[in-house]
Amino acid sequence: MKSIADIMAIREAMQSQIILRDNTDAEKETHIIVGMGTCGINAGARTVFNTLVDEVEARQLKGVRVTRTGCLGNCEEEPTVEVHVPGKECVKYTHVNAEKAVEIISSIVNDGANAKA
Amino acid sequence: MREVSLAILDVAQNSIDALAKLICISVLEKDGLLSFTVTDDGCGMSADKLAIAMQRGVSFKGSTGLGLALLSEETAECCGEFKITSQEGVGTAVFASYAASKAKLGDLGATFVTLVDEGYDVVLKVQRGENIKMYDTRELKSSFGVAKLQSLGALRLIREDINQNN
Repeated sequence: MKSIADIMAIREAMQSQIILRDNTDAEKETHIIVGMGTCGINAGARTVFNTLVDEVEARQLKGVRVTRTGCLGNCEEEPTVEVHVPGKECVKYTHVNAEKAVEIISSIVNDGANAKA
Repeated sequence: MREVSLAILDVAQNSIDALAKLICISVLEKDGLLSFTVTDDGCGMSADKLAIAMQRGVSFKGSTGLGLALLSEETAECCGEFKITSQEGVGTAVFASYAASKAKLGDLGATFVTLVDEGYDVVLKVQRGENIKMYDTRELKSSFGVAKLQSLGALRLIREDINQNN
């Protein structure tokens, strides 16, 4: 049985770099917010959440946090995802699935790249 | 019927919305029974609220009021039990059980990954037969913020470990 310490040691070895405590303030983080009410969960929000986290890992995104919110009352739109990039308008996506979750991450990456250009 | 790990996720959302700081989830698969408890230190409910909390359409947080009603129906369908206790200002405990032949636990690891967040902590105990595994987000977050944990892939490894049957 692996302890969490074992798991983190394996991860560090794979990364082969020194991992520092993340200094990003919450205010500067991009938040990707998945609706996680009963309807959202029934519509597949957990899969959307996990896909978003997998993409954050695949792209090694810094300062991005996938998080949740409760029921917002728009059950027919679920699963929903809101993207809050600091200093930008919030973007809301509805009827999100795993494929669209990947596109959402791509948009964040591309917008970030465009902003720097 | 939802896989049980989704019901667990749903109940834990109630704890988060109740502003819990610590959510304890215990899952047991043993002797033909699948059961879970979710205990929190959130705002809890008065006796009046508790009495109607599992009714369809009843919500104290402006949501659909379906989660506990569904859980009550699903456990009954699976020859199990559903119990909820609560104390205002102290917290809430939900217990649900199912005949293992009628219900599937599903992706418990995915549920846990979804519960790693800033603002509260989760302790998960998984017991299959005599084998017990524990996961504590306080331990995970002692070295890294949640954004970092997500980008490192630590949660994916933990998800796999939770779902492994050993």
